[in-house]
Amino acid sequence: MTAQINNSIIVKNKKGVVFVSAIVFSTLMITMAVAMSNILLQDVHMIKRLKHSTQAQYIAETGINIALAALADYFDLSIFPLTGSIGNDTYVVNAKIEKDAETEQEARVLLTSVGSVPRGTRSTKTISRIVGVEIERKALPSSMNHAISGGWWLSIVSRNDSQISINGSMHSNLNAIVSTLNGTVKVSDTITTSAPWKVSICASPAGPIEVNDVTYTTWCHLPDCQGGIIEFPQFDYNYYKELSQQASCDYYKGNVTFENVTLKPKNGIIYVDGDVIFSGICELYGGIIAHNITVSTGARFSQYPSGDINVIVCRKDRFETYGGFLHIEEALIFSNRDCSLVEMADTSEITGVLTTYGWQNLQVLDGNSITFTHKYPRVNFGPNVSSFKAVRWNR
Amino acid sequence: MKNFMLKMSTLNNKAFTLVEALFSSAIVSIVFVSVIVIFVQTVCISGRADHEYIAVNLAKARIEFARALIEANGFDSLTETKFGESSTRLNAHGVPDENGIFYRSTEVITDYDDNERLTQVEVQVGYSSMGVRTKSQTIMSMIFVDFKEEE
Repeated sequence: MTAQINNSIIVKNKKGVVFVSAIVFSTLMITMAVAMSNILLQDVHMIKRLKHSTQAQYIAETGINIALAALADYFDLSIFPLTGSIGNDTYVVNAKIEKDAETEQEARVLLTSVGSVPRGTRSTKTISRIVGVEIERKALPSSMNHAISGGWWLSIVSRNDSQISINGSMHSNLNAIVSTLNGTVKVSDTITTSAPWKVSICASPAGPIEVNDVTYTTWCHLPDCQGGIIEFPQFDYNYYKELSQQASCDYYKGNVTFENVTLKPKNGIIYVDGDVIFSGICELYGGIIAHNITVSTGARFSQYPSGDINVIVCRKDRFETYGGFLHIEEALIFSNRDCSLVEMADTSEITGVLTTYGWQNLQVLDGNSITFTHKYPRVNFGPNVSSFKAVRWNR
Repeated sequence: MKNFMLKMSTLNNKAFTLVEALFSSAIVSIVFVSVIVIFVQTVCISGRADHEYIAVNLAKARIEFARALIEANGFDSLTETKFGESSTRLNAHGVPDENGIFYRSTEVITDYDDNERLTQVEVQVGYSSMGVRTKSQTIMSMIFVDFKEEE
């Protein structure tokens, strides 16, 4: 009887053991399978992320390259933010401009591109990568670092109680001569020439010449005056011509005389395929390009900055005046050959840069005066001249 | 009476053990088959993930090779060296191999968007599984720029 009861208890105790074991075993198996699937799923996601991330990087870099191509054709930073897409992948390129404190030119530009790739065909979420590049614009031609410069001779003459005051430096690639005859010349900075040429000072007690805070009252050669050979600016004339032609009234074919006019070119530049004579009282807001420019005797010519093409360029021969009055507030005055400003009337004032390939002749007579102040003018040299280079990539 | 009850109880227990065993076997079988199925799927997906990973790297390597070629020899080298290709079979190391399971196509598009400065290089890498080409393709595209850098 006791044995039977014990047997029954054993049987009773085993009731459900197999089932419970099966459940436990199944749970374990399922848990392992789920864990394994999870790990694998993470691997798959990781590989997808890697794929999309790589694609995003290439699309970001593509954005930068498209921006560089656009800038190489035409250096216009107003195109930013630049957006585009290739298939479903998109890029957005932004530019951060760093201007040179002295020249106020866009010296460095930081381009950053965000490339985005959708995670899946149905997903609205994206994976993004950022690529950056720092580009540096070509430095300004060295002649622009001087108030007045010439590729050949530089001649400054002040006579008969006249005054020439130059706030800035002067340079000539050949000889330079500064002379007075009962007048005064004051140059606030250095006067230099390219070796082995010299700077001649023709001064007298009645006509002193002050250069870089040193006053000379006798004839002498300026000591320590030798510098390197300077470079002159280059212009993209076709670009300027097209700009003036777009504003039809700003393009002139053949010689033209402006008399008592106020010129406000729509695109900032007047382009003349011929010579220009200014007569009477003329005002110009912006720049002008012609073969030769003459400010006639007794004429009063004033230029005011407007936009970023503040140039007075004589692309063939010379910029000259004989007895005219000049008031130039901000301009790069460039002549392909000579510049001759003689017997300027009243108190002429020029602010900017005056540079020529050839002879630079500045003469003031009979109690008149001229003040020349160096300033880097706002000049867009045109898209084919304003080149740049990529100095640092951040891929 | 007590004997009858004991007998019945023992009989009931016996039947229960059989039913229990049957149920348990069924559950274990179902779970086992499921796990086997999941395992097989896992192995398949894992293999595919491996191939995807290799495909991404092969595409990336091709783009970087294009970049190196351009930097060393200029843009013309892409056309001169016939960089474009169609369904080149490769092994996992990117070496051309007739028995390789990866297929790579490279397209070089000069004057992209009518801009002569831009050249697009598009690489597509696919692979075959069990001798059959899968639909899955890894596509990498990059546009290079040719602009004059002045020193």
